[in-house]
Amino acid sequence: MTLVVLGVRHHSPACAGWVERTIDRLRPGAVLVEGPADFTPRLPELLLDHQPPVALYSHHRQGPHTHGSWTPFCGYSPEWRALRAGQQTGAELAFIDLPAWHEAFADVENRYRDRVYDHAPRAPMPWAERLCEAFSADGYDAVWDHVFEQALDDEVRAERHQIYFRLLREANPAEARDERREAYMRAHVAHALARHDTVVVVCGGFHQPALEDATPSDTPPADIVPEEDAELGTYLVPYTFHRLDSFTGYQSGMPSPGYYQMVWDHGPERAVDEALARIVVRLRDKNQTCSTADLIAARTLAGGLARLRGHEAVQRVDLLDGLAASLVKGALDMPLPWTRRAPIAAHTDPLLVEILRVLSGDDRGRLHPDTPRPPLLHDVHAALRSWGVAFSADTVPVSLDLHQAAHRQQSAVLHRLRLLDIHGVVRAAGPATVHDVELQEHWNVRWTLETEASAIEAGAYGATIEDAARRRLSEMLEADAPLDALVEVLLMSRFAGLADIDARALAVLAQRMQHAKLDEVGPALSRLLAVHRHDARFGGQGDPQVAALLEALTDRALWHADMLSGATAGLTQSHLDLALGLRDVVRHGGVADATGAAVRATFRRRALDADCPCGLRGAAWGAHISLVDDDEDAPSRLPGDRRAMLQAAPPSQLGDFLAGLFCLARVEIGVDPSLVGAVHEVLCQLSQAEFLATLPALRHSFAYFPPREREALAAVVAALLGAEAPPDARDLLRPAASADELVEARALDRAVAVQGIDYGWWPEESTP
Amino acid sequence: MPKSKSRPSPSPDLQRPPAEVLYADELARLAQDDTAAKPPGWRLSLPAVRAFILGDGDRDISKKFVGAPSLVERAMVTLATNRGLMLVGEPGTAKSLLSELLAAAISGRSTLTIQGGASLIEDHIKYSWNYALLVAEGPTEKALVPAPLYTAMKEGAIVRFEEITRCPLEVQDALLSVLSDRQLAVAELEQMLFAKEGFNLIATANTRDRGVHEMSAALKRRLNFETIFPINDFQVELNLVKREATRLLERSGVHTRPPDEILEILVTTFRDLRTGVTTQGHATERLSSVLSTAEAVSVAHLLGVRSHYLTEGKVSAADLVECLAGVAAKDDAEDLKRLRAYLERRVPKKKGAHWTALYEARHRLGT
Ligand SMILES: Nc1ncnc2c1ncn2[C@@H]1O[C@H](COP(=O)(O)OP(=O)(O)O)[C@@H](O)[C@H]1O
Ligand SMILES: [Mg+2]
Repeated sequence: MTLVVLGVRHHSPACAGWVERTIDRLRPGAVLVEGPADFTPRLPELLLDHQPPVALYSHHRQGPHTHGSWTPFCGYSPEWRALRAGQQTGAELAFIDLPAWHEAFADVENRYRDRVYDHAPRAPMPWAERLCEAFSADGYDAVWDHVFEQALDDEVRAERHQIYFRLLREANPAEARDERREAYMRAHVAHALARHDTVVVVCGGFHQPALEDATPSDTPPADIVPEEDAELGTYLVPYTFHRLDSFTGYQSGMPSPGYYQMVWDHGPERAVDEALARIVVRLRDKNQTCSTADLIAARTLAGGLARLRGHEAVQRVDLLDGLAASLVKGALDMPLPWTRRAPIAAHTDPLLVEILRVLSGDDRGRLHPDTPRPPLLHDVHAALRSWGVAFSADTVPVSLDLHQAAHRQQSAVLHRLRLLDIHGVVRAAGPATVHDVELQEHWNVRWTLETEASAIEAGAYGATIEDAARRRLSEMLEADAPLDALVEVLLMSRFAGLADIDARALAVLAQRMQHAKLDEVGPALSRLLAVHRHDARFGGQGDPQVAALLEALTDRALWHADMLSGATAGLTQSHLDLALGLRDVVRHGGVADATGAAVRATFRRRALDADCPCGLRGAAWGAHISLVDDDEDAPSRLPGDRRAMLQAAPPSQLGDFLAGLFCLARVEIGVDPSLVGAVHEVLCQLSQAEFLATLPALRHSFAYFPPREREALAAVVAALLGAEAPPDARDLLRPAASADELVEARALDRAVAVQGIDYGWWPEESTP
Repeated sequence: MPKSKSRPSPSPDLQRPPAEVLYADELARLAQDDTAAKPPGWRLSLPAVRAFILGDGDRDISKKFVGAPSLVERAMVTLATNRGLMLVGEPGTAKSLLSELLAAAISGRSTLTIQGGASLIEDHIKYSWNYALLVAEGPTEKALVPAPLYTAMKEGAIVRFEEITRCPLEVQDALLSVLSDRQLAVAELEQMLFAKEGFNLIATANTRDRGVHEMSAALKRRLNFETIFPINDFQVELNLVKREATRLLERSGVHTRPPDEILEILVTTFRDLRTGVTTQGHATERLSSVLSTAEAVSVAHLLGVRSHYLTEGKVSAADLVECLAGVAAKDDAEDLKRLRAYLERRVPKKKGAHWTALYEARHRLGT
């Protein structure tokens, strides 16, 4: 009786080769692989001639709880090679691990994730650090490659694996859930040993110590049965290298699948040349400079680093380090991304991002045509059929009235299909936001050549339209996209009936809002607030998740409002949007009382702050006026004397100041003769040049008034100038020439005056 | 981390001996045990240089530079090829320290150094003349006064060029032919100086100086860039600050130490304001003032000295606020505002008595 347990790292090409060689040599009676045992009867599906990467997707729903997880395979996965090698040698094949629905896999999304990263990101891992130090490597991936991803004698490899994984296990003891899985796997191994002379087991190296001393037993492993009311299933889906790599930092496996595919296909030396060739093409495509001299330098450096590090062939980190040293020509804003295990940070040098994309690869898997279709496809057909729409080659128009609950449900399904990029589902017209008054929606539904392929691909997200769309939505919300795009996705998700986004996506989004840029904040605040206030139909009104996001965004907006400085910074829309957003969020109770108080305090402070950009300062004053609350303590109010407030601002910035003021409080202020008088006084102090400079902003500021009020203002001005108001004040608003012509005339006047002074025709003090 | 046991300096009267003097003993031991192949002209092999810089506990070699080993490896391999090395980063990230250590280990001398500046001219880099001799004897080798670049080429050593971007472009360009052809024309003598094996250049530049004098693309092509970042790990940075502050305080004859909690707050505050993200994940405005580890060390030193002379050895959060204000006010008045916003709005979100004390002392910033 021979039992050989090959403890591997998932997705390691070196391990794949080792597994394949061992099975070929031993020709065992059984090959047992870590994988969902309930799929064993369907292994022939997995052994069809697919083009990897592919994955088993397992879903499970019980009561309100749903869970989905993947078991991904690429062409160089040890598990994939083991099954194929076993098939060739005629061995009995079986998956021996607990099914994906088992509670041992609660929260697990990637069955083949890396053990070491299966911790909270910042948990200390002293043993891993010691290894890094011993091999002076930047992180665990480099350590792994250093020790294992090179040509090794199989015996040496087996020994190293044993030592390494024993260490890993000692530092990282098995939890209860591991023990349950291992007991189950052991039972399979024991039963196989009773029936076969030679048994090869392929499992994560972590489990090796728990399996290798199994002894034969005639008792088959106990049946594991799901609860009666559980809905579950496992099916094959096409996968992509991109998704395989995008677990990075979270339930991740080995990085850069594209690169390891090259290593598997061509061996490490040729992989380097192949990778360099693809990188050149990619960089030149993206208009990044990359001279031949640089490439030679990169190759030389990579070789030198490999020698220094004791690698027989150039490895991934050697190549990346060589490229970075020779191609980067300037200071980096972010550390080299491969020196830490996390998604690529914003501001990473685009050159490095492109290089990593090449190594990530863009392979997409394809299933053999005989593979059973994933349930999502059936769900799509069933959903459409249930409301009498047949997916056909002819376009079927679907018109929905979102006031009706039944139509809203149909609309939600169509929106979910749209989220999933199902081909042939097109929204021709419909409201832009959930609180639009107009709630008619028109869709065109058509079965196209790509519909089935896109539904199979979307099947990787889930078994039902709802589950899949929900997961897709989380992925979109966690993407590194501009804030307005994320808010858009968030708002559209309400149409899809997926408003309750999952906690992780919500946290990521709140974090993103914490870092929103100045010009993003105001508009995002307003859009979220609108949903919070008006969306009665889709449940956004008073929604606690929206409220949480509003809080995060308000905190960020306040930060900007506090930090902006420079009285003459100029008028920008983003300042006004910021003040509007903050004012409205307080006015309509979008945030907690304490936050509201902080916003009010900031408005007060900035309205009096000589260092505040004048547009914002006026806006802060306007916000203050429009928020005045009769219960508020008198001392916390700004002085009611509008004349004094106005005169405190620098006269040359009058236009900016008034634009801010009227943008926020035109309604509250209305036509106030005393304020007009004060404006008039300030205007009289301005030199011609200052007046011309502030004129555009001044015009902007009065544009907030409707024509009737402008008429009234004109009448006040006429009175101030001692002119007799014409019977129809509107005449005052119709100047003889266009505004631009008037400005031009003024400028000409000024130029003449300047020349006159130059020639000494006029005294100096007559400077306009 | 290997324990650090630097030997007593052989010339205790030097305020700051160069690395090859300070660590003469370590260098000698490394050379003795060195069996690996050395690049031509190098005193030590690459693994020995790496051990010298990053430390080796088993051989009692101290860790001198805290940073990614791969960075040091890239730097060494670059120097062993025909490209120069350019270290860039914020001030106080140990660029000069690393360049000194590399030069000391590779060439046994770190003092062939050119200090960049606006008034630097080619003569300061290459060579100049002893005018008395020049007039008396005409251009002869005896009358030639070598500058660091000349000496480094002649002897096959590393030349260091500090703050290279502060030099006028013409001066930078004087390096072009030296770096690509490895030779220097001495026109007056009608001679060519050919660089001996072992010659190479380590330049440093400050990212805060960007734009002072941009570098020419031609020079960039001949250099490999390495960016040095502030220390990534909180605990590692804190330990370094503690160690270096202790050393400085001892040298100043002060025997009290700022309490650990104050140093923790100091390092955390520096890190929050340097990265623009607080430990709690909130955004905060990055200061434009330099908040390097080196600056943290000097604040810690200052706190110790102040408390020794002024407050009977006690260090309070209020002292820290005043020191922070000093750092922030140095370069940019805006920074005081940013610091105030941080103290007012971010510090209250942190838990712990010392943070509360820091919050309460925020008025010490002044107005
Ligand atoms: N990563 C680090 N490793 C070791 N010392 C450091 C590090 N970062 C800062 N220091 C300390 O800061 C000091 C200043 O470094 P220096 O080389 O002058 O910086 P730079 O040249 O980048 O401005 C060093 O001598 C050392 O005491
Ligand atoms: Mg320096």
